[in-house]
This record gives sequence, structure tokens and C-alpha cells, in this order.
Amino acid sequence: MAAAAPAKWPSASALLALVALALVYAPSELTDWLAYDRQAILSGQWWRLWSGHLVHYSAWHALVDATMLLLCGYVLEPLIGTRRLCVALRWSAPLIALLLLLTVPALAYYRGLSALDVMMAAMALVALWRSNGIPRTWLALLAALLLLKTAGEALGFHFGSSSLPHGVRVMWQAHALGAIFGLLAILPTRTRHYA
Amino acid sequence: MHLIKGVLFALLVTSLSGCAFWGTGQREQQNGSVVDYLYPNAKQNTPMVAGMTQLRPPVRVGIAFVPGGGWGNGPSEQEKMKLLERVKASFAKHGYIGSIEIIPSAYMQARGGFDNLDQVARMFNVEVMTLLSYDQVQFNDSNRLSLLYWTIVGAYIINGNQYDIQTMLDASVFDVKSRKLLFRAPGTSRVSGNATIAGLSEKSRNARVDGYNQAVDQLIPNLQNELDKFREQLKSDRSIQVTNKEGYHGGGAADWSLLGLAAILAALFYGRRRTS
Repeated sequence: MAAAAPAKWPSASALLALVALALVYAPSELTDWLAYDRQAILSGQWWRLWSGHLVHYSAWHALVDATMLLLCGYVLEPLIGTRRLCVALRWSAPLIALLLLLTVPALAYYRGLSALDVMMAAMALVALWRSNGIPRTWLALLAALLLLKTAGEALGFHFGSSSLPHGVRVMWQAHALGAIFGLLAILPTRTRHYA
Repeated sequence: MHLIKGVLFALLVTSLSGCAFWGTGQREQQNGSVVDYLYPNAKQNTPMVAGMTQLRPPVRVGIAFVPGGGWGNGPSEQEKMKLLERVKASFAKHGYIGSIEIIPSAYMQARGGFDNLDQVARMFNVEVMTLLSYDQVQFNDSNRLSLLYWTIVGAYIINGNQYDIQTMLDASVFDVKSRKLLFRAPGTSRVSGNATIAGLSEKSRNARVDGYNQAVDQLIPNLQNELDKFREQLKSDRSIQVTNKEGYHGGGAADWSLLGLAAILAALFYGRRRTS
């Protein structure tokens, strides 16, 4: 795949983050209509596979997720280009939700950007690794931390205070799928070299 | 002679004024008691199920009227459904309540006890049951105007009868598995009116329905208050444990560790970009 034109600003990430933050103040009927709802998806409301990532449980939840998205986008977009990021997100977002639907049948409702956050973090790590701009030891350490955190969540450990309201579980499966899709999306993509 | 005529006249008036005149102070009662339903044999102790009450939101709730003593006791099935729909609507707005099933009276066995409650809960797949017990008393009296019933026409145009209907509804919310009463809320009403002797039956029947409706009007806010109190009570009551159903509400949420990781990445990238 040809190298992408570098983006100066993380425009796609900023737009996505803005939409997620704006939806916090949308009427609850609209956010309910957009959220991942297992029964609704099974009855044919497929748009929820995309839109479920954009809605959140609270303003704090959205702010933390959107900030991480912006930070990852700030690294990733200049390295792979806005268009390639959009293509990756367009396909990965519904596939992550679809796999959640198939593998976690007890999950009735889901909201949050963090699966895409983790996906972009994994993509950013690989893109930086390829760009030879940053010592790989650092990147390996960060990748190990991401892996450990996801594995820890799967085992029931929590490493930081969650932004989710009481009674809502952190779906580690979404994070693991995000990391896998991040790797799948970045592997065929060329990145800009900084070294 | 005048005395005999007077007595005969009085007898005639009395007989024409109808049975309502003689039947003053009638009292009719309809009731369905939750105690009679759940504990039909007072001498026999219903064993409590030992252990902790576990609530797993979103809780599946069933709503039913406690069966009355006999056929025709209490509101009609159609009225019961309407009243239960209103109670259901008041429950439905809470996120921690999943499905709400209205249980028809045919499934509720009079004096069925917890065995019947267990059967119904299994049949409708509910974990918590809201049982509506009722007690409605109607007093019928005739007033002075009833004297005019002797004119026969008066029986159709003179409001010589009065009724007073007192209704008490009580919603008791039980956890089916532990058989524990979680909370309860009452609703009462009083409906009075006058009617002709010919229209008394229809008018009082409508008033009985009004009585139930007004009692539900009062019951719903009380139920909401009790529900709010119960939520507060859950924080301190150690005999009730609230655990979410597996993966019920899931969230993709970044936390401080992920945010820190992204910040380090961005900082490293920023440093590299400045030097390149």
C-alpha cells in the first residue's frame, strides 16, 4: 500500500472526539437510539454497530475517551494519514461491535469510544516503531503495558479509576478486540519515516 | 275510623317506598388480602428461606392482583388490567427494572401461598412480584328524600339513596426467591354520591371503579417514594445484596492508565517531531 500523505492536524480524530462530546448533551432518546443494544441490533438496527462507539454513559466517560482519542490521533494521523485512519475506523468499528455481539451474548448494552482508543493506540505504537523516530525499547515497554493492562482487566484487575458510572462494567473484550484490529489495520499500511 | 285510615295509609306508603327504605345501612365489602393469599393456613409457619436476598438488576418484575375470596370479588378483570397497566407504567421508567409482566388473575390461585407465587414467577420468568391487595367497603343508606319513592316515579328521579365507598389498595413487593417483603406502599380513596333507587346499582358500580382509580392515583407516588427509600436502604441493609447481571451494561472506558499511555506516546512523538 502506498505511503499516505501526512496530516498536519488530527482532523478526523478531533471530529470524532467532538461528535462524542456533543452527543453527551443530546436528548436521551437520541443516545438510546444510537447505543449498542443487543436486542435492537438483532432486530435489524445495524447502525448501532457504528454509533454505539460514539455515545457514552456520562460527560466524564466521554471526556476521558475523547481525550485519549485525540492524543492517539495526534500521533497516528501524521504518520498514516487521515484517509487511512478513516478507512480503518470505518471497518473496525462495526466489526468490533459485531464480534462483541457474537462472543459476549450477555452484554445487553454497550457505549464508549475506548475500543477505538485502544485500536488507535496499537496502531500508533506500530507506526512509531516503523518510523524509527523513537527508541524501540520505549515502544516495546508501552506495548507491554497495554498488553498487561488488557490481560489484567480480563482477569478482573483494574489499574486506574474507571470513568464508568456505578454498575457498568469495563468491557475488556472491546479493548482486546481494539488492539487486535489496530494491528490488523496497521500491518498493510505504510507509515511516514521521521528518522 | 280515622285512626284505621291513617294506619292503612302509612302501611301503603311504607310498602310503596320499596325495599330500599327497609334496607338502610347496607354494607358490601370486596377484599383480596395478601396475608390470606400468602399465609392461608395461619397455624402453619411458612418457612423463611435462609440467606441473603439477592437482587440482580435489571430486575424482572411481575405485577398481579391478589385473588379475592370468590368469583366477582373485586374489580373486573378488564379493570384490573387497566389498573395494573398504570402501576406498570410507574415502574417502567427505572433503568434497574428490566421487564415488567402483568399477571392475569387466572394464574393466581386463591389462598395459593408462596407455592403459587413460585409457580407464577417461574411461569412468567420474574424475580420480584408486586402483589396488589385491595379492600373496598361500600355503605348504602337512604336519606329523607327516599320517602318520595312511594310515588313510584320518584324511584327514577329522586336521589333518595346515598353511597359511600372506601377503598384501600396496598402494593407489596416481594423477592420471590427469599420470600422477603422488600417494601410496600398504600393508596386510599373515598367516593361518595347520591343516586335514585333505580340507578343506584349502576352509579355505585361506576363509583367503585372510580374508587380503585383514585386509590391507584394515590398509590403510584407512594410507590415511587418507597422505591426511592428502598434504593437508599440498599446502601446500608446488609441482608440485601445487589449484583449486576453478567455484562448487563458494558462500557468501553479509558482510564488513567490508558490515558497516561497515550500521553506518553504523544509526548514522545511531539519531542521527535520537534527535533526532526
